[in-house]
Amino acid sequence: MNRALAALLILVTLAAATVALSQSLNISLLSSKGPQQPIAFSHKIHAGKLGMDCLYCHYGADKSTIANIPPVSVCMGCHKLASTDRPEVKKLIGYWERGETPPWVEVYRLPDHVKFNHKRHVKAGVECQKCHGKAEEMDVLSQASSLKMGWCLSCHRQQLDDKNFPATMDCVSCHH
Amino acid sequence: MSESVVLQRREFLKLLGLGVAGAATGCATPPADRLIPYLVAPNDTLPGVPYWYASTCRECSAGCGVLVKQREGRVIKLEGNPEHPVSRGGLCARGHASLQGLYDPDRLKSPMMKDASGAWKAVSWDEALKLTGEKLGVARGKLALVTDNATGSLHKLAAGWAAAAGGTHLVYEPFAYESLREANRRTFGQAVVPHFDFARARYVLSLGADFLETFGSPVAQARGFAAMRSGAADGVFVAVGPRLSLTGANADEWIAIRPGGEMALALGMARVILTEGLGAASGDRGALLDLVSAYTPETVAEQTDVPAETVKRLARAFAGARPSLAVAGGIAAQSERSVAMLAAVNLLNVVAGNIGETVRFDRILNVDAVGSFAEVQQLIGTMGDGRIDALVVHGANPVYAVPAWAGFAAAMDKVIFKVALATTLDETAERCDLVLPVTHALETAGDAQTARGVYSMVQPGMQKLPMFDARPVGDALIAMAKAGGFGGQYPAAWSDYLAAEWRGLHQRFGGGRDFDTFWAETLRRGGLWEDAGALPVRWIGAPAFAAPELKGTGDLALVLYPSPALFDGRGANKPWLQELPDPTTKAVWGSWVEIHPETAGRIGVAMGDPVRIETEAGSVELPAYLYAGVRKDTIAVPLGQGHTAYGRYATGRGVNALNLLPPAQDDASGAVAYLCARAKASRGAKAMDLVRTQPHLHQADSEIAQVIPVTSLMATLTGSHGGEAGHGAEAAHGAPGSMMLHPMQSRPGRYTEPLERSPGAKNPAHAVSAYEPHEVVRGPRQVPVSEGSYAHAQHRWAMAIDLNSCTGCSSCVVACSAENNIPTVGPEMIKRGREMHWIRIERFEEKVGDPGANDVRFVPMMCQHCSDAPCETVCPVYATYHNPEGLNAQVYNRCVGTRYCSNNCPYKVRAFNFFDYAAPEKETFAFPEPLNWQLNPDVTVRSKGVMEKCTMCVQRILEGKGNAKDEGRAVRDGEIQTACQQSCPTQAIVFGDLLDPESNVSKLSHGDRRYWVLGELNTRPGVTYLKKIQRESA
Amino acid sequence: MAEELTYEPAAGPEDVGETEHVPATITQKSLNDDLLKLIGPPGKWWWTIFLIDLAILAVGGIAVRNQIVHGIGVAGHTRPVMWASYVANFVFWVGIAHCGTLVSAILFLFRSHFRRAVYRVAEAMTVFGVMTAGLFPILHLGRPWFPYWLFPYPSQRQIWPNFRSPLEWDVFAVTTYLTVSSIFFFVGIIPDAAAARDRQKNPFMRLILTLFSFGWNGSNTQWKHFYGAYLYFAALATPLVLSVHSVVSWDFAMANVPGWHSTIFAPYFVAGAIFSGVALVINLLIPIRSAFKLQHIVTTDHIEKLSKLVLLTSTIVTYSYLVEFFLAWYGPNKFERDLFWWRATGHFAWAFWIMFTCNSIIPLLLWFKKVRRSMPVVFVLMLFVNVGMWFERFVIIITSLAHPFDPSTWDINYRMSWTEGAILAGSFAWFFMYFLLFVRLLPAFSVAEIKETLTPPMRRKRA
Repeated sequence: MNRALAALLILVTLAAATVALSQSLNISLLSSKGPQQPIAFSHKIHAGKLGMDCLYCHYGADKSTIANIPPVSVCMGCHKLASTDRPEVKKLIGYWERGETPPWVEVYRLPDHVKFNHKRHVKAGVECQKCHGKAEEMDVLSQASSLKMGWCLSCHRQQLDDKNFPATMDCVSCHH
Repeated sequence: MSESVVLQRREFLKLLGLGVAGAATGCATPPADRLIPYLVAPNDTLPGVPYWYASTCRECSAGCGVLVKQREGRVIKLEGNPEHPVSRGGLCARGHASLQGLYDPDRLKSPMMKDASGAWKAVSWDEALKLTGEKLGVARGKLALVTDNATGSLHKLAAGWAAAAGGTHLVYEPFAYESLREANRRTFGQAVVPHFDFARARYVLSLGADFLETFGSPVAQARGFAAMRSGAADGVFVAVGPRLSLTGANADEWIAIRPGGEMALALGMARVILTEGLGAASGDRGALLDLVSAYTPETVAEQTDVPAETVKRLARAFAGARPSLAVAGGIAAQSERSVAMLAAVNLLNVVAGNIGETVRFDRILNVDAVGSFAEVQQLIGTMGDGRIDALVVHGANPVYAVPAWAGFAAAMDKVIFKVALATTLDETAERCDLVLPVTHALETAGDAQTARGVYSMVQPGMQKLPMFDARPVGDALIAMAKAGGFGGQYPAAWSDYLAAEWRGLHQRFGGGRDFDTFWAETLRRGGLWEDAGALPVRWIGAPAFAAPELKGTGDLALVLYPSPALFDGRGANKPWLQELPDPTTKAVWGSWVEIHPETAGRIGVAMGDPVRIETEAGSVELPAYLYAGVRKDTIAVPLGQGHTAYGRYATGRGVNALNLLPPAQDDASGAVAYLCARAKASRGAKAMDLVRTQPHLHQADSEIAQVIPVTSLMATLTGSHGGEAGHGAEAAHGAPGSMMLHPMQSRPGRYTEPLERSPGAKNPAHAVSAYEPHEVVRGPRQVPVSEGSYAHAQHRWAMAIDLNSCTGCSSCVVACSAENNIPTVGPEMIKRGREMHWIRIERFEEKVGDPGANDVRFVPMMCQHCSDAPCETVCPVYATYHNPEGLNAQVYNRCVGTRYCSNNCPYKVRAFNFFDYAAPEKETFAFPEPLNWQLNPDVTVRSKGVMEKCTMCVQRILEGKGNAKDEGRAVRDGEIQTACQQSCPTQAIVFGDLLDPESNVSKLSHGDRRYWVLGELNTRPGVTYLKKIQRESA
Repeated sequence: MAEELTYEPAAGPEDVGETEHVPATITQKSLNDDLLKLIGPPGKWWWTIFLIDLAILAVGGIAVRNQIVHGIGVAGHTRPVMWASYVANFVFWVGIAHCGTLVSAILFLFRSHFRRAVYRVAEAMTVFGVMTAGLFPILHLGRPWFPYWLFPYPSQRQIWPNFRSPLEWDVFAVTTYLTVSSIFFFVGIIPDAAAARDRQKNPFMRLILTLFSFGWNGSNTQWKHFYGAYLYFAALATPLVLSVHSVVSWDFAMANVPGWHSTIFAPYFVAGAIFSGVALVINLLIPIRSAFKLQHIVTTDHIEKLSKLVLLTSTIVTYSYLVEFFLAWYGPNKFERDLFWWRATGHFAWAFWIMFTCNSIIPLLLWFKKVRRSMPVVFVLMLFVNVGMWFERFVIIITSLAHPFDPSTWDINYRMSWTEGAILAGSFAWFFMYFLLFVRLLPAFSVAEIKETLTPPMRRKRA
């Protein structure tokens, strides 16, 4: 009897401990593999091999809170001519000619109830890679960071006293 | 192009999805979202960046200038256009709410036709136009077109259209100022509505004119009024009328005159002025005197219940202050003798020498085209005896707004073919055989000439809403004309017609620029305006003077007035306006009867009890609102409710009091007489609930709304700080801020007033700010914030609210709702004290109804952003906390809903989400499609169980600071404006940075009239109020 | 073990001196039989009551579910009355939970022996009372699925609760109190549980009793440690009796609301808590003693002594009421003055007068010995006291909130919704569910301690 009792107690304690731990250590349950996209667009080729600037396609990133998904017209700017024989590019051209847009699958999902301002971070000189990982090395883009609050703060804390771009710890800066 | 439109619609829906889903679904992560980009991005548009378009408000004839804010292709907010000559930056509640006209969930989705059984069935535009074509073709010459006061090119099109069809064109507005125009025609030879210049007046006498609510151009007049009142020296305002309206509540004295007595009073005053030789020396003084000789103060007294002494006193004060202004309108100008009464008031202005001074004929309101009620009756007649085969209605809702006795509905039914060009199925549209959905002004190109010399642009803020198969009314008319075979002269599209019209203006105003630049620049400015020289006016005599007789046997005079929020009823399907507390009664979502407590006692009803009102025309039952602001022999009922159609928010709500009117018209102008009936009131059986947001109208001794007598204010201005008298007087005439430039050296130790900080004292108990200005370091921080010190924050956001300027109009309430995604919760919730507004206008009646002074005080109450906030210490999870810039911040997603903060908030400004107003699947959902398109993407839509409150528009603060950073400069004073501040027609609200000693808010917060609400609690609010200046009218 | 005892039943008065609380008819044996017989298969009366109880609890459960699904709006809260019956219930049950520890711990330290007959019931009431009270802070949340945010645990968000908030203090006060009072309860019950275990045939019952008796075998060392531990926990629990309700009272006293913001609250609440607690003990004891024929163990003297305690605390509570009004009248705070006048005359005056009658006037009857010794009368009286004490919380919370600083929010009155009613009833059902089970599963009276009042039986020389 007493043994059973003891066992029970220990189990409960362990359970509680695990919960607390998983909460405190910022454990992210990210699949290392990114989602299947309608067109197998490769950041590795464009950003890596061709060395295109992120802002060439995502030109909203330094002007707006939202870093825009490039309009198809931007893609076609090059692919009217460039490597029109590739199957994936053919898909793109197909969309363009049908006057449709590829339904890209969202890779980076910001948690609810938080507002992220791309412009401010880009203007403060934060590397895109800092949050988005080495996109230029990814054939299939996958979420490189948890985007959880603790993850944001870990960086903001270090930047608090930056002379030129002091980061903020003020809740309403992101939650309003 | 059209394809990119299609895809852009998808883009709307997508972003909409993110916006609302993200907010409403709480923690649940939906399955992988699809990101739909543009196919071709519209020129220089970026998701996440707001774009502004200058346009014109089409909610009433005033036509204020607006700036339309667009995000992700959706119009989300309207703001006053500071450039616009009419409104100069303010916007009224109805203006803000036109957004909900655009996103009205009850808008027509497609053309609809009545089948044999009378049921509606959807048809295509082509069918509809084909049918219309046939019918109109047959009906040539026997055709009538009814529109609202569109003005500008649309009016021209409509008029021409009717002419081409050989039919008649009637511009119908329920409140058309016919009598005023007629009176001016007879006395001045100009049938116009003059421009009342309140700013220049030093004494205003209003005879029934609700110039802060519904009369004339309310926003412009409110601004002028505030300017006049800002001076401490003068600016007395006396309101005359049987009912104390919102406008009257702002008066220093209320003359509770016998209904219809206004004319006698005006003439009596004129006589006193003439006999005592006080007025402006005008040539034909003798002739004028003959007109008024009969009206001695004594006779006036017995005709009006106004003591002879008072008549003399008013007359002397009126003539003494130059220029003064007597303005008549509203209920007083809607009797059977209103022309005579208005002529009398003109006469009064003439003898006091106000014509051309405060009564100006330059920038007159454009209601020239509006038809008189005689024309309406003519149409009813012709329709009635079958001389009209086809009727086309746009914008107007005569079936609802024309009093029942005139029999518009019955006559209309005799018309063979009736078409409505409407956005919703209102009473008139419902009686038609065919309804064609037209686009809302905010998605349509157009123009408007709302005042003389003002050519205002109506610019679409967005592509037309995809879910409604609507067309611009111009296009519809042209198409109908072409189908009917009389549209040969018209270009293919309305846009071409509009452009053609503007080529004409280009000739006049182009100034060498080519048309496209001219067009683009005009669009950018929101229109173009010329200095309109004054029309020539001179006194050409008056009509016969006679006082109105009221019909019927009852012992009470029945006063019907347009509701400040719903106006003539066109606002009734907008939840914002339905839930906007009426400035006078604080009642929402219904109608009521205002009755004097004594009268109520006589018939044995208490507050909210049903009252049965009978006139010879009919009877209604309404809940009683006991109000000392109506005469004992008078009852007042607001108009605008009691719709039988029009939409989910309006239909079947309240009572349409027009049904109480017996047939009566002004004998000179033919206008409908709204003040014409006697009524019997008795205890009723059952009426709707009277739902009020503020049941208690006395501030006990809480000293929340404070005043400062003008005398003592003058003393402080001229005396105590050594400024010479001239100084004070000059300050007195300046802007509201100007008199604050001389902070007092010492004050009596009243706790409720922020005191000057004694040097060196650390955070003294009554410091205006929690922070020590001398520690403030601008530019990069010197001391690490990581050391947790707030003392080095760079801003202390704060507000100053001038109770002397606040008229209680409540436009800030709606502006706030629009900016901050505040849900409307409906009467049931409000009854249980669950109002969600972040800002409320508290109304305190100190002295109402007793003779002499009138004292009603309005206090805009929102989160005070206290430096020592009681709410912050009690929240167990830091959902509310103090941010480094002095804001009392609320983090919705951290809130667990203990509601302790609300209990501990002395100002009770926190609103709690008792139900899920943001979840589409719940019946409590507050934003039925497409109302949710209006939601501001920068503000979280709060979910169930969390507390919310005023954030001082933190999203705007962040945006403003961002812009400043981008340009590498400090934030400029006045660059960041809160929504309430922006919309305030009188600029009573000033927002800014207290740590900037030069900022307007700093100056005001240290001024002589400053005080803190409940300052003795030592919460040290960030909102400083400026006492209302109390004037003696005598 | 009882079998192995070689003691023989005492012969009579010459052996057993008549003690104050125990008539001579009581012997070691009869005690065991009388008290431990409660444990065992319940009769149909018990089942009837228990099932009714569960039915009520079910209704309460439905109401809770309703509230979680639709939102707290189904309750009658308004602005300004953002706290209402739920918080009142919380304070009420915490109050109930008080007297248990008072009777068992404090009276134990003061060696007032009349407690022996009654303290187990009181302790059980304490534990179940706290368990009931603990529900309400969660139930009254707008988002009841996040109560754990109030506990300080390390999270990836790097945020902690606000230790300045009285609600946070509550979390600690209540959890501590629950822990200590249940430990105290478990320790005290050990010997009796063992005694019961040894006479128990039913294996299931045996298991339960074994768990509660923690391997007790009645050896001297165990008795030694037992008394040591018991004394220790008594000493530990005593300050908590005062602390926990003081902390609860600070939920209100620390706020700036007129009618809450008062230094008198801590003692005032503690007194009130004991007042209602003792009343409920009496309400529980009287039925039990008549149902199980225990009049000779829980004697009229016991009840009378408890009644005197009620009378005492009643006068303290009354004094607090009067002082509150006096200070409001005497002090400078116009809002306070205004509130108290409104409380006694305004919209909720009825509640105030119910409170005052039940707590201050009716208990005055207890001055009469006849009243104190007549069980039916005392029983009814105590019911009044509990009603009164619930209304005290209602009055303090709701009238104060309904009449805040800003008059523009006055007259928007709170009305209790059926959901709140159901949840209140449910809370009683929840409490009594535990209590009914307790009576049947565990020794509801401390056999061991009552035995101490008997003179130990003499060993006789064998002839």
